[in-house]
Amino acid sequence: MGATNWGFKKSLWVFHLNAGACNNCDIEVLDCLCPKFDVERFGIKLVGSVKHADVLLVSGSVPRKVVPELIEAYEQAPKPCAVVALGACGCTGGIFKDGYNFAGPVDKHIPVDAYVPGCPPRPEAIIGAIVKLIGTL
Amino acid sequence: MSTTIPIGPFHPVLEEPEYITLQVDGETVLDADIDLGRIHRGMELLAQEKTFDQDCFLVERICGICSASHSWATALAYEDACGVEPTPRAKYLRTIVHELERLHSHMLWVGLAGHIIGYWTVYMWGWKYREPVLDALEAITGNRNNYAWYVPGGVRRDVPDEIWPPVLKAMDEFADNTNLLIGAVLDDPVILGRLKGVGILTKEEAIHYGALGPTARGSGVEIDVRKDEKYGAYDEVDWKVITQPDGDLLAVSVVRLLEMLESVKIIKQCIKNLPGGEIRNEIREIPRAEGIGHIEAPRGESFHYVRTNGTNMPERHKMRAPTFVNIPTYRPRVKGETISDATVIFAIIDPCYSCTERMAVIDPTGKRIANGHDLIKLSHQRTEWLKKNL
Amino acid sequence: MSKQVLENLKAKFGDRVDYYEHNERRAYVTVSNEDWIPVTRYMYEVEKGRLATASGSDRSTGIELLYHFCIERDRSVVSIRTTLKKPFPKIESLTQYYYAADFIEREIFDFLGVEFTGHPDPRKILSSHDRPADFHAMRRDE
Repeated sequence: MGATNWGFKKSLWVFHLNAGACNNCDIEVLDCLCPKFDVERFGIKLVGSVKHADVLLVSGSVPRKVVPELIEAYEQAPKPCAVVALGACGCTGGIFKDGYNFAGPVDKHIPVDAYVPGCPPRPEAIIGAIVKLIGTL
Repeated sequence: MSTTIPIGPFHPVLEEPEYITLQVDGETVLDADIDLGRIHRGMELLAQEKTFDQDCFLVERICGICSASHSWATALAYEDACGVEPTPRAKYLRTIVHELERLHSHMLWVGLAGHIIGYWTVYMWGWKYREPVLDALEAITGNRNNYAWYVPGGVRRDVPDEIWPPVLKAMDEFADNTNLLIGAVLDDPVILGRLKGVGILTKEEAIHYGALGPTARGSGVEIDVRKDEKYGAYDEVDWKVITQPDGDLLAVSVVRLLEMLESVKIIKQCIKNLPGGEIRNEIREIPRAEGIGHIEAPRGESFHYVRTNGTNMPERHKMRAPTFVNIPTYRPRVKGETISDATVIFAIIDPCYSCTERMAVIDPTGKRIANGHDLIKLSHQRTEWLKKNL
Repeated sequence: MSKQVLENLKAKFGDRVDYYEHNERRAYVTVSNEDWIPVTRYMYEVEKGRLATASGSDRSTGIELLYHFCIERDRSVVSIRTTLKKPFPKIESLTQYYYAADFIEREIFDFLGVEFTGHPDPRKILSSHDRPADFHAMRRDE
């Protein structure tokens, strides 16, 4: 991939936020950490608190109950913070956009910097999206 | 004097957002309550506007980890309503894919449970050994998850014969890796210290709460829809239901570990005896009828009920995932245990909240004095303490 | 086969139950509101059925409630049906005799507005807190 030849100016800390997702995108995110894709070799780390995050990975179609919690989590993240909308649900609502409980998509409530389509997106696509954001932070 | 602890909604290890409140007195948990609904997307109402095939694809997204389960149960419900049997080849193919899904789901759970206890190595190994199963699923159906493959009457695409030898090889390696994990996990005194005798659910409680899947089988209740219902190829292969009598967290973990080995057995037999022929019986006539389909998902029984009215869209589709019924079993398990064990007791039912719909310590005035991140740290601290003192 | 269970029901309740066999593994039994608890308790306590779930729907005749009991030894599912009158459907809760009905009845209350008398914790379970208290998503009231 040639990634080791890029001069990473900053190692990115990522916080994963499930806003009503079916879990598929979420386990693909956790898969990125695991030995086959091993995103930690790029310095990208999954953190446990939104206050340490450089990148927010948001999956899910944002049902009504989650909206205030999503906005609060975004406001607590120290700026600059990039937001990645993950999966078909995160980008547009996917097949749930006609549901009666649908209150999204993600970019209706918080500003989004990258969209990763797919149901679920492959781990390579997720890593690619995060890496693309490196220059923008 | 008791205080209330919320865990969630966005918690680093619990993948879905849910809000669990624990009532505690010092270190001991008195009671628990769970607030669901953050993943509620109105799937049952959406299903009424889809055709039968589209419905099977819609329900895959109830939960990504057990997508084949819901899809198969829905296909069975439509077949039951319309009186159509799937073809013999389809039955075997469906069984193979579903057992592969059980493997990846249980191994995922092993990894997450290891993470909660604080064993990062178990987490990494578990998820690494999962990857060949996902590769096998991708080779057979075209995608790692969300296969769009189960349809009423059979399966959507056939599988060429050259796929099977690499899948069989991957299964042998998976069985070896599972045995390695079983040995490593069950010999470790710290893991035994965390799991043995903790969070007990008695057999009577398991029956009274209607518990399902490994959660019930770990308490000695011998229910398994693969044996209790005629579907797939389970009647034609040799396998057994795994139960453990003790009802604690260790018993449920052992059930899951041994079930992975049984699933490998089932897959190998199905591949060996795979019949030829058609892969789908089309549904030609749609009566006004009701149909029920239920199958054994990795977490328990997945139950689907449909009512058809002569058109190709369901009038009513009721979906019930196993975690919905297993969540209440958390309360008898956690009462009397310590806060540091709360997260691992919670994870033992293998909660799949997206299937279901959908932790802070507050003092009596409502002020938050600890959050979910602190609770996971407490769990890791307990493991460290056990390592020093055993 | 569900035949044995159906014959036992007929023997115990006589004309108060009316059943329809869809095939050898699926049967649907209709009872009145008054016989609801006796029959469902019988299914759990005597026939050792396991309550898998409850489907509710808003039909032209009223709110139809269907409790699905899995009879493991017969490899069959026997569903017990009753119809409740709108606009305020009400029936006794099974939770006080069988805990498995707890979340299941809360969900029916949430989506269809059925009041389960005697339920220990009759709260909504999935709907968003910002919805009004009388909002029931699957009701088809005009």
